[in-house]
Amino acid sequence: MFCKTYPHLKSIGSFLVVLFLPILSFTQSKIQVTGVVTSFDGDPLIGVSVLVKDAGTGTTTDIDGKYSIETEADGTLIFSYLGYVQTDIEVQARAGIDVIMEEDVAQLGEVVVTALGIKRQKRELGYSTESFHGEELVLSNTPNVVSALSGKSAGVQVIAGNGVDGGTTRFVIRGNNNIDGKNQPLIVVDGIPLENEEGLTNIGRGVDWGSAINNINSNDIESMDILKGPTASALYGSRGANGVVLITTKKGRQSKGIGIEYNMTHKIIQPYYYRDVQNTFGAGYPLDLNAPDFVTDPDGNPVYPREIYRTNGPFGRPTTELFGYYSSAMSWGPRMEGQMIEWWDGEMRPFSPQPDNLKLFFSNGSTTIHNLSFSGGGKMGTMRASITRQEHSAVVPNSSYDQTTVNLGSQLNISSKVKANIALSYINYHRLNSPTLGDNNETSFGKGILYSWPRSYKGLEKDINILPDGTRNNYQFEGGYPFVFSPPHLWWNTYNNNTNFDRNKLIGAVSLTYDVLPWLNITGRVGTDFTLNQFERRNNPIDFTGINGGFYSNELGRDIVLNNDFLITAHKEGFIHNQIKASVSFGGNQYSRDQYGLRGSSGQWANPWLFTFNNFEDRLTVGLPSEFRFEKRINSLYGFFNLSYGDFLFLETTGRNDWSSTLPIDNNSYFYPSVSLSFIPTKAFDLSKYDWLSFWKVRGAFAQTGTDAENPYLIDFVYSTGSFGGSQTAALPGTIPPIALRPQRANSYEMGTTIGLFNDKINLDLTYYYIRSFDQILNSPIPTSGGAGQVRINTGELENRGIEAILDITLIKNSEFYWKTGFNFARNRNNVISLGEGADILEIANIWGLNGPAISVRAGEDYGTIVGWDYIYHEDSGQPILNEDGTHYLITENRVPIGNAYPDFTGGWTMQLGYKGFVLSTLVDTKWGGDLYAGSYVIGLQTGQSKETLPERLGEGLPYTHPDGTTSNSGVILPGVYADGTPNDKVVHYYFKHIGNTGGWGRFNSKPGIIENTWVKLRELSLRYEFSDKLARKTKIFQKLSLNITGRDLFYLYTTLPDNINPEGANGSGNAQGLEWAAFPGARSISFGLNASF
Amino acid sequence: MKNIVLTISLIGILFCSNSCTKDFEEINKNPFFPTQTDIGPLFNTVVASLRLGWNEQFYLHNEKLYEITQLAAKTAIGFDNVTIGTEEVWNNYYRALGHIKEIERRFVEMESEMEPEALNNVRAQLKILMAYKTFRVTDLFGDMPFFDAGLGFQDLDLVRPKFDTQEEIYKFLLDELKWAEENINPIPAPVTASGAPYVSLAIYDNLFYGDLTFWRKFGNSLRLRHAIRMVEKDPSSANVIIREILENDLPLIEKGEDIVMSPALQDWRNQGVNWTFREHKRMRMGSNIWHLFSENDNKDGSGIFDIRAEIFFETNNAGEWAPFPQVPDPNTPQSGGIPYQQHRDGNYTIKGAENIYSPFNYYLVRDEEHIPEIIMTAAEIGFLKAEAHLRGLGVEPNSAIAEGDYTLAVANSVEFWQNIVKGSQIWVNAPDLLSGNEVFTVANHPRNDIFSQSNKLELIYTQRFIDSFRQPWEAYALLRRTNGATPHEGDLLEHYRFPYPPSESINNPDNWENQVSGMGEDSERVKVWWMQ
Repeated sequence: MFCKTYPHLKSIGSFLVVLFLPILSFTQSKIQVTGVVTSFDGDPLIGVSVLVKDAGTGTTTDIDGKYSIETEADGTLIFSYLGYVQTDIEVQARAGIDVIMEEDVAQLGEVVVTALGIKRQKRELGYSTESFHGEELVLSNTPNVVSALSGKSAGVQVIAGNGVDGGTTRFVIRGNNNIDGKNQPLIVVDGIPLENEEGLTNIGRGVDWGSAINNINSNDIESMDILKGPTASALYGSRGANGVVLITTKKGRQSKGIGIEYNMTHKIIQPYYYRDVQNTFGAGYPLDLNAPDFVTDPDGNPVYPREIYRTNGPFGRPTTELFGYYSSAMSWGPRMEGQMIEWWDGEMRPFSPQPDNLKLFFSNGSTTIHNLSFSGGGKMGTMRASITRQEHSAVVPNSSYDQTTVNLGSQLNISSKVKANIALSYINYHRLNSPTLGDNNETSFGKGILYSWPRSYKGLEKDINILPDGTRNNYQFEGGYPFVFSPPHLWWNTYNNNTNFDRNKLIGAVSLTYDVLPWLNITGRVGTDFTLNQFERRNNPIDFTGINGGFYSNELGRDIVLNNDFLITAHKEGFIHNQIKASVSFGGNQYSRDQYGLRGSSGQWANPWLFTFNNFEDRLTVGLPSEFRFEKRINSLYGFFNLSYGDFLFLETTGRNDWSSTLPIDNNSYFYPSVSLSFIPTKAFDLSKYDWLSFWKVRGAFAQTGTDAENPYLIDFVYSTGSFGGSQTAALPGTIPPIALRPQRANSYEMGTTIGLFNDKINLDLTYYYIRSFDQILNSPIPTSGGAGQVRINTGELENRGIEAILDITLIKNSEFYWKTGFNFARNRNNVISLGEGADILEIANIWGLNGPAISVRAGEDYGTIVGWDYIYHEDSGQPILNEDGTHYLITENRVPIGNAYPDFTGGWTMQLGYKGFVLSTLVDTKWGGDLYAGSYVIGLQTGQSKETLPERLGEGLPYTHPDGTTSNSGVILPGVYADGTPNDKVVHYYFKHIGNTGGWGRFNSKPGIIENTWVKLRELSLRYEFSDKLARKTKIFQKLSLNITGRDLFYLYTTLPDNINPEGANGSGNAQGLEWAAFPGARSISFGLNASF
Repeated sequence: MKNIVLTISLIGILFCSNSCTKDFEEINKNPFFPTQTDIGPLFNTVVASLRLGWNEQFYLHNEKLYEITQLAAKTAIGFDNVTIGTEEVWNNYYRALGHIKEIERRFVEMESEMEPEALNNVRAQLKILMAYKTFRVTDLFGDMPFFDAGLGFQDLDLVRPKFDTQEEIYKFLLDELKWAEENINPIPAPVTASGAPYVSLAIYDNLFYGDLTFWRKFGNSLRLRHAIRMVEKDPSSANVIIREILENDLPLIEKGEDIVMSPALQDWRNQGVNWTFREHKRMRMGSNIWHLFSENDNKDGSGIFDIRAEIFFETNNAGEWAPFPQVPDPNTPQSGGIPYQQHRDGNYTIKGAENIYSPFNYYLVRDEEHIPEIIMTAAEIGFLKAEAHLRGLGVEPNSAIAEGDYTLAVANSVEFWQNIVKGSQIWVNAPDLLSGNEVFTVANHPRNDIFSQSNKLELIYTQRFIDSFRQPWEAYALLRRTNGATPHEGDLLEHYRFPYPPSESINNPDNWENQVSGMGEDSERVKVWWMQ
């Protein structure tokens, strides 16, 4: 029973243990030392830990930064504070010691939060972590706190895919460890793992409703710590195998004034990175090879081109035969010169350039956040309560979201031996609509903009989609609506088909720590991540009847996650030897998740304007309700042992055993260990002759993690049932279920060094790691001739090996001015070693099934191979082979590898200049290498929207004679050779340069879409001014006051993609990265912020 | 205090060693699907798989087979993505084969609890189904995994099965059908020698609804079809089978007993067929088949002597009978229009101004509820018998019997297709159907009259060709078996099989490479075993 439900206790770590240890005194002359601890700027620092070295006594600074402590006259005081360099000061019998603490640029002495929330000095750790302050996250003002890490953390790849604010951000630490499972790290909020399901993983199409990390309010975050790789996260078990992001919320602190703080930010989001298109030629199709012209109506008026294909096109052959099934966005028509033509609705309008028609759907968006917090503290502890209101208006029409967050954080000293830690966040989130991404549905403007609307498109529908009587305009004009490859009612649907998404979420944890003895404490914690999600869809009727077209559906899901923990920690200084400190901990955790959802819908309506399941004319038109279940439990016991010698040698070992409900009963128990060692030569040896070397640490670690099956219900042999002929059918599963599934494993090795030079003005941290993931629980592909498409077995092997480098430099620092800069670099190779015996290729995603390119993983290659149809190359010359007419390239029979999306490296460069209260910060980040199938680029070529399609049309081509006998300099020779190796020398019409040889859907040559996707971006530029405390207090209102302005995602300094294709517009946040199609334009933002304390 | 810690630790360890997995099996029990089932629902799944796939119809039939066989004309180049079709056929078959082999495994288990004879009928039904499905696929691809295939659920060592030769597969299946004929007990509620009732599929037989007589006829009809299909390659083996069937007058499909998948009776909707034509758009009547129906090229249809012309096709937008030339020249105008769009439910006459050639009859490809998918027709059996008697396959040559079989088969075919029209609930522009013995007028037309013509075998092939109009895979087999003796204009394409779907080469590479190295190449130019 104990393990199942009850009190589980946890330590607040050796740091706090030390803080409150009883004094192990021995009699010497003692004095009382008092003083003030301030920052470099002269502001008092509250809550600085002041310890008497080797005595075990300590205190903290008060609201004015003052402290008072009794110590030996010849003792040493240790001052430590999060974000500042630890300062050791010999007392030398002084009664007053004021201390100015130096900000810790490299955070070598930083106290960081590690696994299970235990705070430790970063210098001790044998593995790599990075920490970020909550203020940084607020300043970045990104749509979610993870996005703020982009370019700031080595080895953390943050991918903002296609979409708008509120969508899913993919982030991966040190590459993919799962061939086909989740690869995003575990997010832990105040010790409670957050279920962060990705909103949209499908690369082809869909609506992205975002993931739960979007709901975490940056204003409530004290710090965010990244534990990279399995070594650091060994104690989080299965779910931490991809690394862990620890978020610690604010718990309040003593402060001057009335303890109220107000933050406000207002962000303006501007879509700006639109495709670069030509504005010279308008709608028109390759119906013949003469100069493009309009057809005329019986009155002689030129008519807007509406004939898309022709069965007797060039050479008497159908246009589809020569050019494939191109779209209605084709812009191969006449020059747009303002000539009056009869538009598709019968009106005469000028055929004129529409340089802004890609912007029709977009406008500036905004996000406003108000955060009010109450914070205070005293002997009983600290408490903080805050309320945050966020309102967002999207860059697309009729889409918005808002969120109200109430947060409560407290550290209570219930008695001298019992402390409580409380963290509660209640989130109420509402979102109205989210745009369709990628492909085809009734609100897919991305498709319309790219694939359906030519350069002459005026967007008339925006104003005429509703008739005066309120019904939908069905565009029933003579000759028909010309844009056949996009639903004609996009604008109507955008405003009348509404989905409201509501999420109510409670993340809460309460822990109690009992200091049983000075060297022993017990902590218990209960926590929950409780979520209610509701999607309500209402499609308005399309006519006066109030019935036709009306639709209603509702989906309600609840997700209850419970985490119960206990931890017992014993600590001993002078263990065996007076230089040895030791602590041992033993703990347990029970994780359980219980998810259930129901969805129903109305049928063909019987009653007007009634949005209810009961509104149906015919029972048979009502879909059956569907349900979803997910239930899982993991029980765990773990222990860890820390040993240090002389403050320069640190050993940490951990061991954990999990029991998971998703594995077979005989294999559901699995143990995994870790060990890490760090050594600080600069502490161990006298290296004073190397006065330039201020700090040096070497470290190494090994860890193994075991991972269960991600989802439940995978081990039973079940039959899917249906009906045929009025009786039941039972089908074997599509995947052969496992016989004896066992946990998958990853062995992780890490070594690194940290060097501080010139009094830590230059700090360098280098890490090399190697991770081998094996025994993957994988749906390994088999031929269907085996009876199924896949077999679920333990197989497959992945390797990640890489280096991470972090360099921080303080260039100038004096009393008024400082200039700091930092670089980070990460290179990871994510090699697929094996997919199982006999399996070499596993397709993980595609856009249009077998009718387009796909992403696969292939044994022996880096993760993320892009496959598609390629040129056939001549054996000798390597040139692509053309047909005898010189019009078409030959392409491979089947899809073959044509690229790989995995980048060569990622990196970031930060710079910070401070002058008095001003701080100017910049961030430049980069992704170097890795291919992208840029679908928007090839469609731009195929449809004649791209500027690349202009030269021949502008008479810069080769002499060419049209079928009607006219001549022009519009011909082209396609580079390549004939099958016999002879170079092509045939001048052909410029249509053949692009239309028949590029494209998307169908069996087209995919290779022209493969482009290296390298970019360098000015990610962030911010200016902050903080009034000095003295100046702020002169107002008699404020205790602190600061203002900031931040530009985010400002522009690309360098990109290899042509035509302004969005380098960060790849579809989907799943493992398959590298396919782009109809991406939205990139957007930048500018934020204005105010922070005031009262 | 040390004792306290030790005690707590011990409790934790002891607890988790015993009850940290409490309720795990219950928690992880799949809530959506059953873990148990019987042979009936599994068998019903196999029957349901007899329906044609959407992509098979689109990418194999409309894109390839109508064009190859010249049953119709593809008036514009298509999507040319045949692998989408072959993948579907392959997947459909092997998924079903997995079920068949699972049922066979259960038969073995059941044998230990009952007299083997009690399983005779269900065994026979399963063998017949397996034979039908396997013949269809091997006729498209040739050699293929079979004996070890579909067994991955039973043996993980067999998830990548070897390929077997078509000859081995054919002979095995024909033996299986022979077993079915010899062991099937068609009487109602049969019992074993000891009085135990036969195992029955009961309500799960949605093909013949428990009538074993029809299963027997189906099995023998399949034997006859495929024995004749291999007769050019292995006449001695084939003739034995043909003789056994014809000389013993074993029951075969007869008039009115055509085997079909019926949406109306089996409670499904054939939405794929209209989608196939609606999306493809360019399928039209070709001059080849038109000339089998009409005495001349009169656009008013006055030359039509076979009512099936008006069932299979309709006039163009101008109300004219206009075939697309089977061998178009570069100046041949192409076809457009919208003859298959669903607006014609309400505006039947609007086919689009560019629809200048006769399309498939709208209702034939629109009625999702009442137009069946054909498995075997009585007419086909008639043509097979006529050929056997005419050529002396397994029996002594007898022209008179052949002529009679042929004539009856043509009449059966006409009647079958007329019944299709009659059965449709939406077919409102039907031609004047023939009544009673009028159906013989088609067979007796001078162009079709076998009694008066010397090219009797050609007539048999022609009429079998016409009857297979909605079974283009059968016309494809006939074309290949007869070495191109089916009606055609110009040269036939060198297309004898379909390349294996890419997934097989990717996921079964060793066996695929072995197979292809033996064939020389995995192309449509390689002949299947039973071809001459």
